[in-house]
Amino acid sequence: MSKILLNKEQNINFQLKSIEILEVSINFPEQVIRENKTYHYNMNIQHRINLEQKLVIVDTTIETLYQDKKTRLGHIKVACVYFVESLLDYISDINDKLVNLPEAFIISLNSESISTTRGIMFSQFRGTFLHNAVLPIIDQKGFAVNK
Amino acid sequence: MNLKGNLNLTMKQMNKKAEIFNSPLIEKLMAERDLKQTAKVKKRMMLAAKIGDGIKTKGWKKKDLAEALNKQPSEITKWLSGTHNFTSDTLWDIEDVLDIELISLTDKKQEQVTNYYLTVSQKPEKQSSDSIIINNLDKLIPTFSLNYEA
Repeated sequence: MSKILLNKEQNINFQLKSIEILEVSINFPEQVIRENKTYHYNMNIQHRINLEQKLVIVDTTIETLYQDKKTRLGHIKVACVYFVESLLDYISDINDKLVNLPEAFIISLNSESISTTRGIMFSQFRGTFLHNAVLPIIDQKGFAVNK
Repeated sequence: MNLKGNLNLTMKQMNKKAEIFNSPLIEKLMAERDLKQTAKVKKRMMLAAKIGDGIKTKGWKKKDLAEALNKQPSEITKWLSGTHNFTSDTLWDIEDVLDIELISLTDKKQEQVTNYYLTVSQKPEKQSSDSIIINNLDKLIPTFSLNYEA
């Protein structure tokens, strides 16, 4: 079980319970993409929380786009299921249906999930025209949140 | 001819456009209705419809449900009319035989969902002609050498 140290007094134990590939697609465009210099990626990370089983399910969807930023070349959706031992400790005082996880922990979950998806994405697209479309290192601060 | 004439009349009546009908009596009755009672009737109707759907899903007829619950078919007809006031025991019995859920005792909490969006770009690795090929491995040695001086 991994341990994230948030500060001297607080740490969160969590465990990666399972990984599931939910969707994979490759779409070869009509035009030749041999000269493609740049790939673009649309990323969407969705956190779903199951309080009863103390699970945080992180669905990572990555859409690979051509350099015109419109033509969709492929996409992958992977679910990483994390067991968080102390999940119930983070239930909001105002709304008992809402969980407020520490930002550092969310960043850690996102990071783990993106790395896992990057690996799966490479193995799925290996040998195809998307062989070189390797997801770059992501700055977590760039994510826009929509609760 | 008479039959044809009657048929034409019926078709004409059917093609007649719907008109707004205002009745002071209906308006008065609508204003006087008890909203709580209306909601209750609506729920009873929904419950009856759910039982009806359960019977259909099971491939049963009213008679089958009556037999399964040891009741008279007329009683089932009354249940499905939406006017019956069920006891919880009866509902649980119906749930049991039809394999459906009519009363939910567990508080189904809504799943909390948070979305994060990001768009990133990546330049793929350089073409092979641009690649740097190191033939002389000695050039790499200083990196790992203890004597290497920055």
